[in-house]
Amino acid sequence: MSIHVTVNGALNQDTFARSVSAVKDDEQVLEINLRQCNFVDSYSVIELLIIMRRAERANWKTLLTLPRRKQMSNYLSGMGLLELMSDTVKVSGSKPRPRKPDGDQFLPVTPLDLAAGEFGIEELCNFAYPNLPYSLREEFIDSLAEIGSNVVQHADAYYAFISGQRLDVPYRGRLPPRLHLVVGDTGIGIRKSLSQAQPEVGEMSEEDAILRAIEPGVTGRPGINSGVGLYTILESVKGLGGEMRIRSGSATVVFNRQGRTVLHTPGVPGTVVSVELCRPSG
Amino acid sequence: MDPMTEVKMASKQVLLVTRDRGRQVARELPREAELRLDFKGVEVASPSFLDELIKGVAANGTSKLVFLNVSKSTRKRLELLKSLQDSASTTYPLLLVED
Repeated sequence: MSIHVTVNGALNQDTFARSVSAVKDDEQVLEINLRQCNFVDSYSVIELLIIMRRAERANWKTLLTLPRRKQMSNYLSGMGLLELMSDTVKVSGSKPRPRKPDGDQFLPVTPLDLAAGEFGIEELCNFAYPNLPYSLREEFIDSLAEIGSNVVQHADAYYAFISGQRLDVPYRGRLPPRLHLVVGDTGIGIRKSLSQAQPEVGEMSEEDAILRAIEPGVTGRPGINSGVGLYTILESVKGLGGEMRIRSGSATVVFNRQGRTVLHTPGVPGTVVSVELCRPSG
Repeated sequence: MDPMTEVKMASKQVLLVTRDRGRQVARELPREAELRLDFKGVEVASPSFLDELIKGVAANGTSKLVFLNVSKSTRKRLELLKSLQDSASTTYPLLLVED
């Protein structure tokens, strides 16, 4: 199988799924073509890093074509894609300047220190907290702590990345300040993780496993954890009029006040959870 | 009757956010039958922290736990944990929230 990520225009959490295609062939190639890319968000950077790290682990060949516009390549470098991807990636295109994170990234794309366990997550919370707008502090720290801890406890991942970004423009009715948290890992995914405690989940689709995981009281460690983290975050997100997005394997479920939508992204590994918190609207 | 022992939670951390921290704080609490935990000055008490704190306090032998000065969202989390506890086998202490 080979996986192709081809971007014409913006690569963001709404366009990522349709930018990826999986081809059943004898190749083991990951090809990422950003030549025509004119925008990328932290969600997509983390998705790309997860795919690249997984490809490296499986000894696939990875080819990355940088954007034609130098400014865009510099932006990608600022987001950390080139610094955090594996050394085995073959890059074509003009070399951008070294990484210099943008001011809106109060938590630049960073690898999670999985060896540090939950205290590493706590350190990140303490680092991010002073830079957060007062009205969204509690919800953001909750989200970071709960999702980060899920990776440490449940994902069985060898790589994980995290980012936090403040956006001061409205988007699709969501009002600024908007805080965007993204946490991605190369681990076993929600279905496999939950099925260790609830074997019936192993028979479900990835989409149904995500919906199960969001229910209160559902956990991969029954009797030890209470399964309140994701549910609590979703309640906060809905209360504020924000959005929560969970991709596990090929299924992505997007939750907001209006309900939920499902997207399918073929061939992608691991789990990525993103939370967008915004100024409360009526 | 002896007054209940009261603990200022902000002296532990202002961000109380992980299970590990919940277990650690519970271990440090006095082993009393009844405890008052004052959350004045605590900025965030995450659901997982609270879950672990309550379980740890129960393991210490505390049967009544009073939460003081908690935020609206912490109050909601405690209500959620109580509702889940009703259907679980774990024995929780009696949880009370005071303004």
